[in-house]
Amino acid sequence: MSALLQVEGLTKYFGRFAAVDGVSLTLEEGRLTAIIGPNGAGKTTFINLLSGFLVPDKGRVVFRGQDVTRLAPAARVHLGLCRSFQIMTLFPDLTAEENVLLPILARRGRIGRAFAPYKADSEARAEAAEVLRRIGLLAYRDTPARLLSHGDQRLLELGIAVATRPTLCFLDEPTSGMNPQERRAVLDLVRELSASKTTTFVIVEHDMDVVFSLADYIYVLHRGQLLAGDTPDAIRRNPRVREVYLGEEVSA
Amino acid sequence: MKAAAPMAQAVTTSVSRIGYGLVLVVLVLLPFFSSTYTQYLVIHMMLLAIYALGFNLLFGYTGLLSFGQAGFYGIGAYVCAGILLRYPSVLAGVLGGVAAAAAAAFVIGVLSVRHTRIYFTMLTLAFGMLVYSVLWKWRAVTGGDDGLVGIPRAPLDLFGLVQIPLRTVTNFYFFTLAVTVIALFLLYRIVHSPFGLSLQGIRDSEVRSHFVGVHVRKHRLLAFVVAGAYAGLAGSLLAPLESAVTPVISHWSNSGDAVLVTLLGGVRAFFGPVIGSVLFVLIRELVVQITEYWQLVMGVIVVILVLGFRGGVAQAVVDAWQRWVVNARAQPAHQQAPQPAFGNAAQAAHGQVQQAAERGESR
Repeated sequence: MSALLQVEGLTKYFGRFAAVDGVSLTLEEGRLTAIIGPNGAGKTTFINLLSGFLVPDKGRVVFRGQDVTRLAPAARVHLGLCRSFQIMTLFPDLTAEENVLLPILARRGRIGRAFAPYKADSEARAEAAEVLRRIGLLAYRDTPARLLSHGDQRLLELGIAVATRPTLCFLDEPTSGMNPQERRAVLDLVRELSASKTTTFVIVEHDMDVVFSLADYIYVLHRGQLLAGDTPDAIRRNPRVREVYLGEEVSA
Repeated sequence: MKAAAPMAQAVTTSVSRIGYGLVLVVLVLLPFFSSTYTQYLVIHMMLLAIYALGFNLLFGYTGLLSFGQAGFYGIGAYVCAGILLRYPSVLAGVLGGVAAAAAAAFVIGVLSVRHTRIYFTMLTLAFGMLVYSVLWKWRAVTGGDDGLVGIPRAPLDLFGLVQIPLRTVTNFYFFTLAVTVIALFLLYRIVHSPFGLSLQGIRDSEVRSHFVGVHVRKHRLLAFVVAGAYAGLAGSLLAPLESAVTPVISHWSNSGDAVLVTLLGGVRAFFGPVIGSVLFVLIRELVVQITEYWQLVMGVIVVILVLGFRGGVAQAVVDAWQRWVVNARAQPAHQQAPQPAFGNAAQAAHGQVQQAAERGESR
């Protein structure tokens, strides 16, 4: 295992409030990592800083030896750093196929082509079909994303992130608002994609069942600071973590 | 439904191909059985269509409402006029007008596309009016409120080989028709290209576009330049047609016409602005014969359309056609539609039909 992403003293203020406060950690290649913490712990802000959605006030983010602290999101995507969103961020009026075609065309450097119809790009479309097959939405390839069910939209959200073929992919609460059946479909997919070893996933979750069944390694954030980083078993036994969660969820 | 959707799509596609062919044939034959006044009106429809189509690349496809397109229209018209007054070649005039408008759109775009929504709209409005006041005040070059007059309908000089005179309305009509067909074809290719898809992605979700690796600002700027070039093209065809240009053409109300025409025809349909242009010129000509308050009538029509038919005339036609096709073709298959694993079957099935019609007819 080697360090894929190193974070040093990352800090972000909203006004005077430090949403993320001097966090340093390392994400290892091929290790499915979860970031957990109570509400307001700074999990989403932390992901926003790593993916380029926000710019930190202090600290450094190094991705595969390259300093990406101030790099624009699109440039990070081209380096292999991608994310999904907690709040639905699809292209609602585009079809499921077009939703995954956009990242595929961008990665292949074809997104700037202005005169050849994208429908004639059989390579890119075959790849899009493969992504849709994996997430189980091939039957809905021609359906606008806004007409898909909530669960299917969440799967498509994951599909778009995966279609960028990231080396490192952050998933921000990928199962939020899902019923148990849909949740299992998403988690199975993450497990399957993770097992193929091309992408390292970092999952931000609220649901402890999800975290402990999925993750190889867990970081705990509390009030913007890193409380612990360890294997799931060790995190379960960690007294400070138990204290933060009042012992309920973690021991379950 | 799965079997029916492609069939409906095929029917829709072939019907629309036949439709486009028929329209083109009628347009080519038009001068042989119509007055020069009719031809003159159709030329105006075509200019408005070029202008509004470019605007809709920004509005309908990229989600940016520009209220300054008349600025580029004016730049195209004045630069073309300036060239034609010195060098009598319509090709040089038009290409010069388009290039100047595109260059201006690049500069104004760099400053504008970093903003969106109302801020973008207000910036473009301000820049458009800036052009207007320059045309108004810079008397030495633009002729001030007199404008530039005596612009010749210079001949079309093709590589020094053939010279086609454009002095008659009919010849200028054919020239405009050829330019319009080329402009429509190019824009059609653009909106169906990966770049065109990226613009629709930016319209749907700017945030997500960043995170699929699209350089949002660059693509917005390119769309702005194309829209500016199309406005400039329309303007540079106006100069030789009318043989005079005045600052009024770059007034913000002319920018408003691009918006009206597009809303009238349909924002989400590729040919929407074309339909809107035809209706706009027709309504104006018909109502002006009855009352000078034609804008009042136009306003009422647009209000009705926006309240009742959000997709404009194009969408209303597509919806009607779709209902007809679905009733005729897809109804029996609908009953046998398999239940999908999860997701809303009815919605998805509806989506496919919608899709078939949208892809084939309206985009």
